[in-house]
Amino acid sequence: MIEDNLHKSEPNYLTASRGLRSWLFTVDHKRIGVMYLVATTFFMMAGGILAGVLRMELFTAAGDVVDADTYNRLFTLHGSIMVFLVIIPAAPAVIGNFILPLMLGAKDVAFPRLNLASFHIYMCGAVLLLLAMIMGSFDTGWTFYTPYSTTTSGPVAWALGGVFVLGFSSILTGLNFIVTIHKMRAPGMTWFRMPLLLWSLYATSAVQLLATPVLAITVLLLVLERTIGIGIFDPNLGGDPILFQHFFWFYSHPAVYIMILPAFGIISEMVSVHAQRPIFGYKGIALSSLSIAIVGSLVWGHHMFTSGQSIYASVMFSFLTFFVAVPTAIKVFSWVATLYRGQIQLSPPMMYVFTFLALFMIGGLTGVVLGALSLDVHLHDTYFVVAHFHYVMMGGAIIAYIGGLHHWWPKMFGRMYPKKLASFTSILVFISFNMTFFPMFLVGSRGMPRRYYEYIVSFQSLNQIATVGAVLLGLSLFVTLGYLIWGAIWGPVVSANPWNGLSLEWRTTSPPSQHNFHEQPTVQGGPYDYPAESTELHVRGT
Amino acid sequence: MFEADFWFPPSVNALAAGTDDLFIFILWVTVISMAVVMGTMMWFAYRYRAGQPILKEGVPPTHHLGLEVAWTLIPTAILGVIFVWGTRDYTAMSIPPPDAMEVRVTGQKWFWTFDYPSHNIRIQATPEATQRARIAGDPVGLVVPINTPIKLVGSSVDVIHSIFIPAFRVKKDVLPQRYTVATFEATEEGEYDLFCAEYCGTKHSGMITKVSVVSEDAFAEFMAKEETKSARPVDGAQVFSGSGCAGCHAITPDTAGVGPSLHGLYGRSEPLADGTTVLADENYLRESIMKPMSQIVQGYGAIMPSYSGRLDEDELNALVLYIRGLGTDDGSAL
Repeated sequence: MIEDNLHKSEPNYLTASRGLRSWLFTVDHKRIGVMYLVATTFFMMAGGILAGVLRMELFTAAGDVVDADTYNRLFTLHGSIMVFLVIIPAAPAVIGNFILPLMLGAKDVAFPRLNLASFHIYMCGAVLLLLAMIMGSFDTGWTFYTPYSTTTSGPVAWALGGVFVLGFSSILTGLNFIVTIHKMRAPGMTWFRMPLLLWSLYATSAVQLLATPVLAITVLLLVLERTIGIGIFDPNLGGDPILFQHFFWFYSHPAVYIMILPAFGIISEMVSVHAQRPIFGYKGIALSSLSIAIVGSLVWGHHMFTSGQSIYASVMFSFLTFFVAVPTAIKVFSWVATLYRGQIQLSPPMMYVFTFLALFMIGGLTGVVLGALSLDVHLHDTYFVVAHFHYVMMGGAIIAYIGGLHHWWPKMFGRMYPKKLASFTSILVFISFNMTFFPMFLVGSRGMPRRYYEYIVSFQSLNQIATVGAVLLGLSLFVTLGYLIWGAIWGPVVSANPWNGLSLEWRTTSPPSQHNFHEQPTVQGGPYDYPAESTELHVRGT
Repeated sequence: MFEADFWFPPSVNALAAGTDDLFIFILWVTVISMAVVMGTMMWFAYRYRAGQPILKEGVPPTHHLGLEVAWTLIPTAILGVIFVWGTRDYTAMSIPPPDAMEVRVTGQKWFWTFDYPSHNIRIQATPEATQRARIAGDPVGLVVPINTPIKLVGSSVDVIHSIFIPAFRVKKDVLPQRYTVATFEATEEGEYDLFCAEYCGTKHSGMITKVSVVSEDAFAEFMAKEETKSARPVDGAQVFSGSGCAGCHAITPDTAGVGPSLHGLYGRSEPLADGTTVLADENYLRESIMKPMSQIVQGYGAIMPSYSGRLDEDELNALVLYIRGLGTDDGSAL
């Protein structure tokens, strides 16, 4: 509050300069974060609307809303947009860009101009994907399995070009974050005094840096195969389609951790701040992020248990898959233990922590089902898998991301959204999410394959529940978007530290000034040393 | 909810008997751990809600070694059990019994073809053919006798498909230019769904048919009836002689030729020119026809031309089948 009054007249990062150019060519990590926020939100809406059409089509067993080829293009677009344009960039590029330098007590990321370049590259990749969509779209599925992807018609090469370009955005962001965390921590911030979000972003960046080039090589080979017919993957040219699956999942399984690791960090921050007590098992959580990143890079073959890969390989991949489950379980237990003897605020971010824990546990435990070899044979490529990864990717990654937005929204815009409405909407999201995706477990285990335009009648009632749930989920998310925008523009002005957080981003004004801090902040203790005596700004419980 | 019937279609495959039990076991683990974790979470959220008087002063615990070791080791042990269980059942359902009857499965946009080498019968499970079979009162789709182990050997003529029979808990991708194997033993007569589970384009969801499990008598009767129809698998012996294979490869034992004799080759370990050995299975035979330069048998020159593009999928399958039978007991029957 003192700081607030002192600098009231000084412009913040939002008001420091005006005009479109001042945004598009800014090197301020906060503005870049906000631009990513706008872009990913737009694409999330686009991907969500596509999902809505898919659910409408699946409302009845017969194909009626769109034709089969359109359906195939729609689910391909839905998957590609949600994976490459939304979930992979959302948490690192929005929350990471905005919060990471603030949390470190730094003025910006290590390479601000490279950071802007990442955003421009991201937009170029997005434009390529949209061009592919306009030019008649592609129907390969987001997985681009060969030889289907090398033989089907359509602008597949453009879409692959988009994925290729997007990969560079991801790599550069990861590189930037790693260097920033190494070199720009505030005085006194040792590695084990870093907030856990930074640990998880560090692990995420490492995976981005190591795995994404493999994706780049793979899609490049695929483009070459489509355009000049080199025989890497197409067996009729002497290639090997299983090789493609290995290459693809060598990136795309670690990509799952690119999506979920930042979510783990966000949850760690929120659970500690909104329970107003130190995180339980700091080192366990920090190191499990790294071990998940390492072991998670060695489990890609569990996507291929029915592909014809050797039985021995399948056994090894199954074994390693179960190994990833252990550090993940440790995190969940630690978050729940953090609630013990806390001062728990049922604030919207905490509601999202609860939502995350419930949905992510279901997602994780059904992952155990799929890791078991004998069960995966039956469940692979059915709706059970679709349900599982939506529980993990949406119920886990996206829910944590939305919760994180609620947590840092007052920091980003200096204003608060309506909290009661937000908590209420989070319950609606939870209910409608389960209504949408839980029936898919059942319809999948009963045998409905994924990517089916039509299906046999006995699957219909479960699909109808899912479709109704999807409509409700879409509405709940639109309400969320609405009150967040309202809050950012017209919401009540908040103090620098409305949640009584202890990490450094709460020590500057809300919204922060252009250069984040007026004086270099220093760190004397851990990020979760509650109960906090030194934070003068806040009265508990308000 | 804790009955397998709630989650799965009735299981009628003798080789996948334990699969559902593992699912129910994991379901119990899930429900119990969800109840414990969610229950604890909600209890804490209520008990330690903000504004409650703080009963205990001081910083709440941030570590507890015993607890942390326990919640590492207990999940590890449970996951270990699940891993061993799943792997055991997977091995059992992946390796066909030696006496299994073989059926060749060919995936193609967008229908399945089933060849019965032992009966010289071909069934094309197009929607039209299925319709005709229904009108005639015949069993439709993949027809197999009850209580007989079946070995499916699959390949594709275009893109990847996947044969998925939910009631058997069986799924296997079929790929172009290679063979994959799946196996089952049906325990109840009836008609079961067969889906394509790997996305293959426009009519992916229409690439479905049935598995008809019939009595042994009905199966014999069906085969006899099918023999009167025209669709036949290609004759491998004719492909062999018609493609000039015999010019270099003998089919009698220990007969020297330009290339190695094919007698008794199948299932043998062949020494290669680079010093390694290779098991002569179906995929080896196929690759040696399509890409002869990739694996040269020790003592022979690298001179065989590739038959890639000269044989279609049917001819290739027939040829592999013919070579496989050379020098074995059932070779004469083929």
